Amino acid sequence: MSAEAATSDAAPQDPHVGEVIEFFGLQSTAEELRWLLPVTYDVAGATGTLHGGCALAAAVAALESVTGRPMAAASAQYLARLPVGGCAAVALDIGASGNRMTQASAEITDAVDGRVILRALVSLGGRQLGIDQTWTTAPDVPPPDSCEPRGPTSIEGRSFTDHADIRLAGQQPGERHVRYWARLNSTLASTGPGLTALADLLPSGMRVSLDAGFRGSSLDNTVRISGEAESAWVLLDIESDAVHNAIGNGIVRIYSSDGGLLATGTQSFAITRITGPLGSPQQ
Amino acid sequence: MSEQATDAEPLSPGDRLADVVDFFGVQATGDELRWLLPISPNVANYLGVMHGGCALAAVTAAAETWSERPLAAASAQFMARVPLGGSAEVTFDIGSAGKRMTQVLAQVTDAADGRVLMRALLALGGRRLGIDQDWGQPPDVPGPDEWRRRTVPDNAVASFSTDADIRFGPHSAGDRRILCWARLAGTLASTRQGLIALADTLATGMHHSLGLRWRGGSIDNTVRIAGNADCEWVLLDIETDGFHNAVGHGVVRMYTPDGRLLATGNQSFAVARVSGPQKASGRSQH
Repeated sequence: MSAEAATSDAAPQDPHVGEVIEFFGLQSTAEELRWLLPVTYDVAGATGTLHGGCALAAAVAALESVTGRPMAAASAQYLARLPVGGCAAVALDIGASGNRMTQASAEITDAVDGRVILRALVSLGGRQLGIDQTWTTAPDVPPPDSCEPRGPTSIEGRSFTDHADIRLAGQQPGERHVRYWARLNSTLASTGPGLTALADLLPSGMRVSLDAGFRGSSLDNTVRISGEAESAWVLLDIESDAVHNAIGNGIVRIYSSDGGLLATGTQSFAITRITGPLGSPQQ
Repeated sequence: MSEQATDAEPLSPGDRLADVVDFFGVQATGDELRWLLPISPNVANYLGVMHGGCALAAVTAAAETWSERPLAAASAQFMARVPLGGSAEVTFDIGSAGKRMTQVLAQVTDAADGRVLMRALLALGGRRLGIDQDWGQPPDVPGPDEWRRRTVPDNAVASFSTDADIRFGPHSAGDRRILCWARLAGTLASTRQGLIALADTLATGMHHSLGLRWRGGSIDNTVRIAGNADCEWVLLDIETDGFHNAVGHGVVRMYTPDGRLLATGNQSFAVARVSGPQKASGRSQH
């Protein structure tokens, strides 16, 4: 499959894919299309279960490794939770593979009992036609060093979002836009899987826009890659669109530290209960 | 009625669903998780092949019928084409079904040879918590009568793409933001499925933003429902974000004529070949 990506104008593979796989703790097996993802605190969310964004990022990294193509877009559906200490099996399916694009899917199951945790549709590839450009501009915010760190998100203080360096770059309760700076190891935040994992911060922004704490869970996540950069910090500009039937919808645009658009993400989040004012327990 | 009592009532797809099923022509079988979708003009594009947005709309209409829940969000991946006159088979796999939400994987295959045409992830349901609101900022535009209906190529096949009344506002090549009014039969445009089918207009907006004529195809489509309304016209506010590796990405927000947000959509489009600059015109072709 990798050989198909070697055409002259093919979009190049992300050179950091090996580091990404190591960061998320993804393990290959003897079968090229089957991987394992042990659930550690490094890939857990605030509830001590597999973080949806990290799970999708891991599936993307596995597909990038197998196909030799960079991610273009990915959509995931979150179905069940898997606690820290468990292990997920990642099964890949190459649905269609053409000269430039691969349309694949991934299913993440509990390696012990086979429960489906996540399903994902992933597009990889592209070509260099000299037409690339972006229309968006990053919002004007203070640099990361001038922004306060976000507080712990989990009770134990051990999770992907606790380990990530996230700074408050602009938020007012009730306002539509919420901005964060985010940094992972080295320049991992600016890779496709890094951006995919961080896009899952969208519900955090929606809490501020709704000006309320709530319990609930992400239903899904869609991420589209719009640029490349080697950037330690990335800026997330979260824009809440609506809450309808208690399901929140929003978009996040993610920029490099010099203002280039790297990715867009959209997500829906089902709210089960309002827990009180902003700052009350999450998830 | 108290908020708690209101929340106790399950959400339903509403009384327009039967009309939607009828329009897109999706047909039940003896198995509620298996449906048929004949490729009629109502689910085809002007090239005479299955229209991705219409196919996703038809799939969601079938899912709403058997789940008895309204669609919240849908993401589709487009893989292959089937021509007018063909037939697709739609199968559903329920990933989870809780008290309020159902999550489903749908697969659409060519009924003749089993090729996978499309895969889709659907979320259906929701609840009434009294917290609904939208932050949408609809653009201030003239009414649909002020804009001309888009033209289609001379060789266009009679289809959803030619029947839909889509009217683009003035724009120039290179503009990020492209606006259009859209209308289908009756008030179909404002149904969830009408919005899904129309969200696929996003690719046309990206054409205008890039200012080039190209060949390519939509890779996928994601639509999220943000409101209910029963109106004839909907306003599409298309924003192109960028092209990377010749794959374009954009967002569309859809509003009622009085400015309420109904849905958001986002899509990626792979450009295979650029054939030259786009003709300067205030009218558009898909």
